[in-house]
Amino acid sequence: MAKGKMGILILGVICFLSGCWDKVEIDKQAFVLGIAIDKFEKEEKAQQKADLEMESNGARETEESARNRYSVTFTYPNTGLIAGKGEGDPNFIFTSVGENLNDVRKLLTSRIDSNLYFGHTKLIVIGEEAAKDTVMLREIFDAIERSPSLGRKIDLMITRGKAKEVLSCSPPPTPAVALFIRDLMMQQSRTARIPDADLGYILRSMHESNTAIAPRIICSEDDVKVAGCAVLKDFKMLGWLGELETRNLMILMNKTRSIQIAVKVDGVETGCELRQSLGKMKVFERDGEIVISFAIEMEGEVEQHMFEIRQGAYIDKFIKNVETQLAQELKAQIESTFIKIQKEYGADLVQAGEYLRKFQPDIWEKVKDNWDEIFPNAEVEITVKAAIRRVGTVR
Amino acid sequence: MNRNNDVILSSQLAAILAITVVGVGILTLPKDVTEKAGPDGWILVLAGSFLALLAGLVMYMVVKKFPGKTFVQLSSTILGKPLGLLLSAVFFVYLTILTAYEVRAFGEITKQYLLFNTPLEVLIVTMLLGTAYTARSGIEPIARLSEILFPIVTLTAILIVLPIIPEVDLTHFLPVFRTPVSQLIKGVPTVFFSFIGIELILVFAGFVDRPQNIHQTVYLSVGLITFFYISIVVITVARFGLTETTHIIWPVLEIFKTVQFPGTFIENIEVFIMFIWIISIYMTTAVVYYGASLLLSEVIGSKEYNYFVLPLLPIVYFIALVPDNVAQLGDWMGQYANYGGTFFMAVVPLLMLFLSQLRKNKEAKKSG
Amino acid sequence: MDFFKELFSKKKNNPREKIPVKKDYHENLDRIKEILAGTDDVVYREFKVGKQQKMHFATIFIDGLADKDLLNESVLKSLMLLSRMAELDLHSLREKVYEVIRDAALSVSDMREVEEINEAVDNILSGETLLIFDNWEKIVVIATKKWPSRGVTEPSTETVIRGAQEGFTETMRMNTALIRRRIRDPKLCIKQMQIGRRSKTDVAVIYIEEIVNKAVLKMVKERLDYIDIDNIMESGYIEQLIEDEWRSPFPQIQHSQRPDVVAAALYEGRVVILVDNTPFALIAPATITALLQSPEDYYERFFIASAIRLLRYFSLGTALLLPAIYIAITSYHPGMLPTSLALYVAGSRNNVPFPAFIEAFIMEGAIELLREAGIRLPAPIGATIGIVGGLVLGQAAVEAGIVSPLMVIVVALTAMAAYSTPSYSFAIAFRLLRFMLMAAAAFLGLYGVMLALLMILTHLCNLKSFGVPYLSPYAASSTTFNDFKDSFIKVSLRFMQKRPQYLHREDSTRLKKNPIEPAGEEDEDEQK
Repeated sequence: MAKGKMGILILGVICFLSGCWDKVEIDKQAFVLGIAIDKFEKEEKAQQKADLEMESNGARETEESARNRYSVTFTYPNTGLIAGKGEGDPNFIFTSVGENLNDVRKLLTSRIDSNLYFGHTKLIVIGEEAAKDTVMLREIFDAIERSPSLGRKIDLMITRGKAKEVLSCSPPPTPAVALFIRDLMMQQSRTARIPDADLGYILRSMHESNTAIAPRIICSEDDVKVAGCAVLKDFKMLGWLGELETRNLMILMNKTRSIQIAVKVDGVETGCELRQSLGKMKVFERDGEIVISFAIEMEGEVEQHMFEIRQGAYIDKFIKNVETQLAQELKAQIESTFIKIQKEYGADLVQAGEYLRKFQPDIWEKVKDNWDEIFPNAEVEITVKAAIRRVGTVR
Repeated sequence: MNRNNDVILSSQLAAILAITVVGVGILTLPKDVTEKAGPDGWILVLAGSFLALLAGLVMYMVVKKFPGKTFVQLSSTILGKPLGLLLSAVFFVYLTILTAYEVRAFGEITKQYLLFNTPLEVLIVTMLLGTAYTARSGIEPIARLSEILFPIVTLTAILIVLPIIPEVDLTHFLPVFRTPVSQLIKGVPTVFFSFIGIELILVFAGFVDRPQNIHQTVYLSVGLITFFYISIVVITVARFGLTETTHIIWPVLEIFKTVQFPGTFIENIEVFIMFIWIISIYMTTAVVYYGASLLLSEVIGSKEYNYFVLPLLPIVYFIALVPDNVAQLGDWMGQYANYGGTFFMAVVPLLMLFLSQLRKNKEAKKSG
Repeated sequence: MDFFKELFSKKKNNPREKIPVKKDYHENLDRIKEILAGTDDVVYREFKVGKQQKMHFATIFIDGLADKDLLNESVLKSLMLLSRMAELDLHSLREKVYEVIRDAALSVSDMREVEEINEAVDNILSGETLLIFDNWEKIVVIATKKWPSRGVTEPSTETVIRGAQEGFTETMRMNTALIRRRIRDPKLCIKQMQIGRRSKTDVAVIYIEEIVNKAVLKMVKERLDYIDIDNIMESGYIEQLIEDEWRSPFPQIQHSQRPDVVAAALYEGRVVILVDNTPFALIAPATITALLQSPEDYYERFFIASAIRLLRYFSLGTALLLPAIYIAITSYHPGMLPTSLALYVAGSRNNVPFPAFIEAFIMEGAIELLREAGIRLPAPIGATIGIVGGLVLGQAAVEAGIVSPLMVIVVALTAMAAYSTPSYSFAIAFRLLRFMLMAAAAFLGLYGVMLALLMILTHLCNLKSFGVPYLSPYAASSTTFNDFKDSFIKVSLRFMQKRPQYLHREDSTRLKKNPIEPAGEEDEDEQK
């Protein structure tokens, strides 16, 4: 018995001395917070070449670069600066090109002294060009989904132009753009113009109905904005939805927190804040046609009327008036958005198909094989009710 | 060293069984049942659990007739010495391979989620050494360990599931009862085999202080396991939907990556799932390992099972390294569970019950 | 049990020669002098009694151990002077001297007779006085033990805010008196024996007849009987010789300096062992709950007591795990920290030259060193060491960039957590295991920690203290729901009707009648 224990001990010591395969000290980790994925364009090569020294390896260059398809940018923060004892740039940004995403990751290890760590990645930005390429987008999604360290809480966004530029800009309050976006998306009171769509939603929606939306990110030198969204269908980006359209879509999907809307009542511009209290979709069959109906109820308060119109807002009749106007206004907006999604993109973003599968399995059996043709031709009925409960502190 | 007196309560046996059965199976169960029955997976779980309950009760009826008997004694009495020994030997081989598969699955998942560069061999060997230590301690410490760890595992599981609850969508279980019955029936064995480990009742019954109470063990352990299985299936499917659940290899681990604790210190709760998962896999391995070495010692006729624990280690280790890749491991485990499970959870107990009844009748006739 | 057989395979008590007491006074005296030849602190006082001064008497005692005042007043004075005044005719009483002096001359309260010289010598050595005289084949032993001893003082190792402030001393007799004062029950048994071939240390086994766990008592007695050692310096000797598993870092016998703790343990059905020359009583069996409770838990309101107990379990976990988790997370799984914290930790560790494991090892080593230095040094300097080591060293190390500030916090927290464990020896075990866990963390990260933790837990489950599972009542087959009332929480005293069930015994009821419920208004009227 003593011998056995001794053996175990020796074995343990041997393991210990040779071991620690995964040990990387935390200060030797490069916490990749943001990843930008762009399509590699040949014309760009000359410009990129300047900072890609490993490409300068003469003979093999052409042969190798012929296979380059991606240009991927990683950014990780200067942690010393965060702890208040380092200096230099707040972010380190590295770009490289390669055949696929992991290829780039490995290539970059020849230029970065730390271990690239993806457990804290917060943001993945995909450039418009890459998003419009079916094969590329599928590759990207698979690589992301397959990676054990990338969680599903990550924000995946699509930008006009180059994704790399998004990571290069540094918004003043939080210089690391990925952290900035994370905080921005975590805000409780953010506007509905930012679609509520993280990676988990996108992957699920893509799996289930082959469509999804991804937030749109726009940047300038030191300013970043998230608003609007890109519509993905059949593994590629079809086009954009504007900010208001995004908001309307969010109302349809019942994912809104609150919206700001103004109507003109009695010649006075009345601004209101509305919260969604109901957003119910029903899909059913009427005379052999598929009908998609939405029942939307909003309630909220008047936020702005006109100074020195006494007792302007504190009147039931006025409020009723506002409510009707709001409902009309909203209905018109939402309808046009839905028609755009339905007719122009043919994207079942509201998951009407899923609804049928769950609640009307008999109908679904009939339509599921050519749902892509049926959905754009489905009838739509939208009813909007708005209720104003309060008018603020003055009459 | 003072000897343990090797007596456990029926409730302790229930804890052992519960923590053993909820081992590797739980990680893949949601995927399996959803694949088989779509949104009606939970019906499968209930049906499979009912079958497992029946199997457990049959085992209870067998062991009740031979209180305090080890498996070898029991099978030798019923089947005759040579056949009984053979059956025990087969049982031993079965448990050994089961240990190996559990350890291998553990190694694969740990490598995937925790230690990416550590060699699989090291993970397997360290796990085996740890469990060997537990297996050597005997049934009483194992029972106490299960008794302590089971509530810890359960409580932690419930706690970490809480933040998922606001994000679940129960409509994923619609439409109900649309799956064809034949397909459902085909799926039931999948769940039944997730109860692998319950056949250890046959091996451990001899230690229970009041064998007539083992039916309580069966109810309790099957009840707890069913509760676990049902909740994990419900939560996984309600969070991921049908398509994703069947798409991910280990959906139960992945589910916790979707959770965001708003504004707390703990941001990544998948840590805790790894915690309790390591605990449960450790216990599963230790118990099955213990069962295997105990059977071996009984077959050989040695009084001390202790000597067999460490020599078994290399054997288990090499068996564990046989599958080439994850996919093959999954296939083999499924197959193995199918055949081994059918044999030891259904065929053997029924056969034994039948034969022992026959023998009893014969004896009654003789004496009468 | 094998272990005991191995350890004490040479059977005890090389039988001593028995020397009967002779009738001749001089022979006896010479015999004793011969045995005690090398002992110069023995006093032989020979004197003669009676009018004719014909009877030889002698008192023998050890200077410093025997009470000389008592001897002077009650023995010498009465024999030498008062007997003469009584004008006894000793001649006629020649055959009945003993009866006479016992009944009429010696005014001492405690005396007995022995018939064997060696036994008599043992008595001298333990402080009694021998009285030998002519024509009598026995020796009178007068209880005169009185030696310089410390008074009852505050127990320095187990201080409480509320509760008795007296502690055991080195004198066993005083200690038994302290216990007896708390248990005025005829069933309180104090069984005394002497252990140690040469030291002849008094050891008392104390229990309450109807309450005690018989199995434990039997084991304690058996194991004590088995001991054959030349000396017992401290209760620790006994503890090591009778514990179940010597290969365990955990104490399997509780020790306490407080009579109230000991009395409470007796009431719970445990067995107490008192050893002379030790202010620590041993309590068996030890269970994890007993080691993690302070007497104050029972004196304070139960909400507070429960909260403090939970805190203690938490601090135990901290003391054991914190450095290991720090290593595991910083070197293996930075993904487990919240992002901003991970970035901060990474930043604060910037330029620290050591890996986290070495860093933790250095700091933990330093704090152990500090602790040891603090104990060894006289109290006033000890405080200085604390300041120098803790503040100056820590500060300087951080400023020099050798360790990260977070490490200092971790180490300080760990030390504080370790100090908050009521049982010192239990805490040491955890201090030791901490290093093991740190190594496991450095080797395999969190998986290593879990593995080591499960192995420790297995060990704890395996451990029994005198047949009682160490982890009782958490994992013992004899546990009932009732036992959880006094485990990681403590319910109000009025709901603790039963003694701990895992110590199964006859009389298990503690509280027979619940206190009167607060009187309503009607009752108040009645009282008036």
